Formats: sequence, C-alpha cells, structure tokens
Amino acid sequence: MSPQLETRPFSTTVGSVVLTSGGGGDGGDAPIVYLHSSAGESGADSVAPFLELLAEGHEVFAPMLPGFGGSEGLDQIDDMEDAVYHCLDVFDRLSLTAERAPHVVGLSLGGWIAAEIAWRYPDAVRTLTLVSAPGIYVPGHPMSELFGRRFDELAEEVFVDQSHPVAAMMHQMAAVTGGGASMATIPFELLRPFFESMAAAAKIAWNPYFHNPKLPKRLGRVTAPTLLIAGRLDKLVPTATSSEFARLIAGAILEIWDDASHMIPLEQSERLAFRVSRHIERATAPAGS
Amino acid sequence: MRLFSFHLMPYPGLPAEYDGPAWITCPNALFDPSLGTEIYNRYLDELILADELGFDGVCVNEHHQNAYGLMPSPNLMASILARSTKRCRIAVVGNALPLYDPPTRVAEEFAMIDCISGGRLIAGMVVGGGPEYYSFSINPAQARERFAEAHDLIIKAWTEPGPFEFIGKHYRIRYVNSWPKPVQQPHPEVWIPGAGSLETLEFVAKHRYAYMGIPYFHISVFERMFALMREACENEGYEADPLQLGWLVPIFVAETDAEARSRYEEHFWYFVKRLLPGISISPPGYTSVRSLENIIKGGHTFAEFLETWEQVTEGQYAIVGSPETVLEQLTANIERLGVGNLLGLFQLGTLPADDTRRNLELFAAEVMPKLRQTFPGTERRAITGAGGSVAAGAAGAVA
Repeated sequence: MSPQLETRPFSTTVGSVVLTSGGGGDGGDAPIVYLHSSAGESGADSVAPFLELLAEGHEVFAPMLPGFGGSEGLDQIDDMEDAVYHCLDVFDRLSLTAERAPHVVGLSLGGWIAAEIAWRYPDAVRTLTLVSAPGIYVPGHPMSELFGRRFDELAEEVFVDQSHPVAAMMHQMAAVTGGGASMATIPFELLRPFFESMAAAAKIAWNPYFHNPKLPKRLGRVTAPTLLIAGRLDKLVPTATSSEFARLIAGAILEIWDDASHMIPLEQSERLAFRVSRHIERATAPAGS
Repeated sequence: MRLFSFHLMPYPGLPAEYDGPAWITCPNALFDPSLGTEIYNRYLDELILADELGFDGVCVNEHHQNAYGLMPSPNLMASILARSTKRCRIAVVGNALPLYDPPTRVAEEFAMIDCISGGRLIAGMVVGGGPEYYSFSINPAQARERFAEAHDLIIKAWTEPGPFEFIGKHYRIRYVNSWPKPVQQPHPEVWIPGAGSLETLEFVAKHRYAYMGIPYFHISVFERMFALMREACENEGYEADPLQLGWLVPIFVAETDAEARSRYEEHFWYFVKRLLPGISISPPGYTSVRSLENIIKGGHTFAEFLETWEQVTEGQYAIVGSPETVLEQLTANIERLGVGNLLGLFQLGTLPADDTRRNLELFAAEVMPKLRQTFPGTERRAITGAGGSVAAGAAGAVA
C-alpha cells in the first residue's frame, strides 16, 4: 500500500508555490525531491503513482515551480539562474540541507534544473537522477520544437502509448484545435494549465533553447552520484544529450531504454521508481558493503 | 475621419503546389528576387498614388521571414515615401520594439523619417507578431515588459534633453542622446496596433495613443474590441476620441457589385488561404492568460477559416462592390464601430497592379468625398485630465 501524498500551498521567497509531499519509509535516508518537466505534472494524477512508489522508501517533495499549476512568483523568474535559486530556497525552507541534502530526480526541464543546481552547489544534492533531460546542445542532435506545437504532434513525440490518458487527452484537444477554428469550443479552464506551463517554461528555456552553452564546461564540478535515463523512442530530446551528460559527469551511469519515450515517469512508473531506488541505495551504501 | 491606404506588400508568387505556412518556416527558396524588384517598386507606386489621390495617409508595417508581408524594415519603405509623397501622413504601423536592441534605433530612425518628411510621420509601436518571436528567438514571455520598457526609452529619448543614462531591466544605455530629434513636438503621434490583448488596450488608453484594430476577424469582434478600448479610456478618466480608433479592412471598388466580386474574389482567397496560415501562432507567454481567454472567444472567426463568399460578406471581412455599395457598407460600419481612422487595404494577395490602381482611383473619386462629408473631423480633440493635456495629433502623457 503506497503512502498518500498531499498537495498544499508552500511559502517561498517569490510567493506561494504548490507543494506535493508525503511518505517517509523508515526515515533513515535523505528525502527525494522531484522536479517536474515543462508539463508541470507535479501534483497531477498522471505522476502520482510514480511519486507514491518513491514515497514508500523516502520522504518525497514535489514542488511546482513558479508559474506552473497555480504557483506564484513567475514575475521573479527570468532565466535558469532564477529557477536554480528558487529551488535552493525551497530546499532551505524544507531543511533539505547538509545531511538531509536531497536525492534529486528531474524529468526533462526538471532534470536540467537539477544538473544546474548540482554543479553550482555540489553538496546541495545527495544523488542525481536525470530523466529525458535537455540542457546540452549536441551538434547534429538538436532538440525538437516544444513551443507552439499541435497537441497531437507533441503527444506522438513524448509518449510511446498514444492511449495513455494524457496522450489521449492531447489527441482529443488536437482534434478540436486542428486549425484552431474550434479553440473556442474547449472550456478555457482545460487550456489554462497548458498555456501557463508553456509560458513558465519559456521564461527559462526559450533562448538558448533548452540548453546552457556553459554547462559542458561546468559539469565536471558535479560530485553527486548521477544516473541518466533516456528513452530510445523520445522524439523531443535526443538520447545523445543524455550520453553527453554521462560523458561529462564523472562516474555517471547512462541507461537508454529501448521501449521508452520522453514521459518515462508517467508511462513506466514502476520500472523507473525501482531504478531510482536502486541508484539511491547503491550510492548511499556504506563503503565496502 | 481620416482615410489611409495601407499596404502589406504581400508576396504574390507562392507556387500552387506549396500548401505550408506562409510564416517562420516558409522556405525562402520560394522567393524570386526578380519578382521582388518588380513588386517592391510597384507597391511603392501604389502608396505614392494614394498620396496623389488625396488620402490622408499611407501605412506600412513590419513582419519578418514570411510571404504575407515583405517589409522586414518598414522604415526603409517609409523613408522612400518621405521623399516621394508630398502631403500625406506616413504611418509606420509599427516598429516591433522588442526586436530592436537597443530600441534607441527606433527613436533615431523615426526621427529621421519625421525630419525628411517635414513632420508627417505617425510613429507606430507594436509588440510584434507571434511568428517574429520564433524568427528572432526573442523570449515571448518577456515581450510585454520589453515593449513597455522600449517604449518608455524611445519617448524619453524624444522628449528629455540628452545625454542621459537609461537603466531598465532589459536595456541599459549609458549615454542616450538621440540625434536627430523629430520635427513634431513633443513627438509624433503614436499608434499601437492590436488584436484584442487587454494589456495593449490598457496601455494605449493610459498613454492616450490611438489603437488600430488588426483585421481579418468578424465585424462583431472589432465591435467588442473597440468597446473594450472605449471602456479602457473611461477607466483612465476620459472619453475616447474616434481618432483614437482605427479599423483596418480590405476594400475593393469596381463599377458594379458583380464586377467587383468577379475581379477580386480569387485574390482575396489567395490572401486568406495562402498568406494567413501561420500568422496566428501564439508563442508561450506572448499573451497573458486573461487576454488569451478573451482572444480565443473570437478566434474561430479568424479569416483563415472562412469557406464561402457569403461568410466574407456577412462578417464584413472585406468591403467589396460598386462605389454605392462600398460607401453604404463603410458608412454603416464606421458608425457601428465608432472609429475615426479608416485603414483600407486596396491591394491584397495577388491583386494585380491595374486592378489596384483602378480600385484606388474609384475609391478616391466616388467614395472618399462622401465619407468625408459624413464624418468631417480630422483633428484629435484636446483632452485634459489626470494625465495632462494632449495637443491635437500628438500624444502627451509620457511614462
């Protein structure tokens, strides 16, 4: 029986953000922080099974970044730098420092943010798991376009299973938005979270497009044991990006899953949760055991 | 009422087999430079003709990397018009401020055009179209704040003695000292085009500028947009002057209704079906969520989705017919919308040179004088209020 997670407002320097948290296991190890993708999925039903599985062994915190899903403070976020320091502010306020420095798991945009935290403040991150992460520009392997795409095209690029509830909803929305003529027939409340998430992601990732030109020469500073997971079927972020992360972070482990796409926590929650737990176990096992 | 001839300078040569967007990714292999030579010169002639025919002004605008409008630099066109027109106002509608870095470039170039033309410039300022944010990779989530800051900088460059230092969030310039300065004092009349974004309406109302409704929607969408504009002015404590409102609409006049439609319709469809696709992309954060909700309400009436000529007529997407019909429909719509500026598109899509010339001549001879009789005023009335006074023609309140 997985622990129930609760979602609540949480006060930060930039305003009130939405925080999902819970679990704890035996309480012996540091908590896990999950950083969401440009979809702003933390707190949504879609990612709940994954977070609940993680919460069986660890206390889990999944904050919504400013601008996403009702979190305030987007006016104070202009770039990656601001996003990094906002996350550190959240860590501080949750006392996720020193011995409680968290295991950080990030999906896509969230993975990139996690890497940016880890090179700036190596001690702020206990372990690092980057799933489908962008952040490095690899010549010849550009990331596909996220902004302004039709929902159905995007679903094809980031899901293996087009009947997954989120993918199916994206196809449904595309059917009525095909050409845009019937946009007005969709209740605006259904569209609102999508528009808000994309605007918040654009603040950080519009230009340079989902990468930091300086990241390759900084990643050598990362000391957290790092696991990179990418899906061979991901048509949004090329797997070459994860390979490059693995090359640049000392001791990093790279796994490219043949049957996975981009939204791995949504489509393969059990396998990913198991893999993350094992990464944490091995990384934190006492030397020699 | 002031009457303007607006030219988009469209690319008429998209091959029939190309069915992609006309924006952002429309392959520039489709651009034929020799056709470019022909149409740029022809289109300029059509604007110069408008001056000779007695229009109050001509309008050019700015778009990038597209087949819809070939004026990445409207200031180049305006500078030619400053020399080759004699009487009319030259409205640049507008410069997309966030695309100029530093925006003092706009203050300088507009001042040059105002000097060369002897004070005939209308200084349009615009956030820029959604596609431009892809073409320039400028962050759309900062579009509004960049626009507002660039605007403040430009107005300050025109109205405050230089040199001074400007320290903003996006622009930091140690020495602002614009040479030249505009002939019109305190600065040229400012127009802001918009498609219904509430932030833009509020900005225009606050600064007492003029708002140009972007076309290609059902007439009821314009009606709502201008009602919101009047409301925004009321919220600022004054009544909107009709000359603060402009309606942009395609116009085609021929001897009879039947002839007008038969000469015009195919060119109209080229425009809406070939040149509009791709224009309405809205990059993330470019429009606030509250405005999006408002804009989406009218989105389904966008001209790109038109299928029949009856829909075109019913929604008044283009005013097409004999001089009598055009006069009657324009009069009714001007009254309905309460606008003081009519911005006619007399060339559209693939409409050829001879039809465009005849259109302008017939309009000037048969329609223009009667519109002027019905709607006489051509000067902004002075407005006094909390924001200060506004002299005719010039917008006063400076941020």
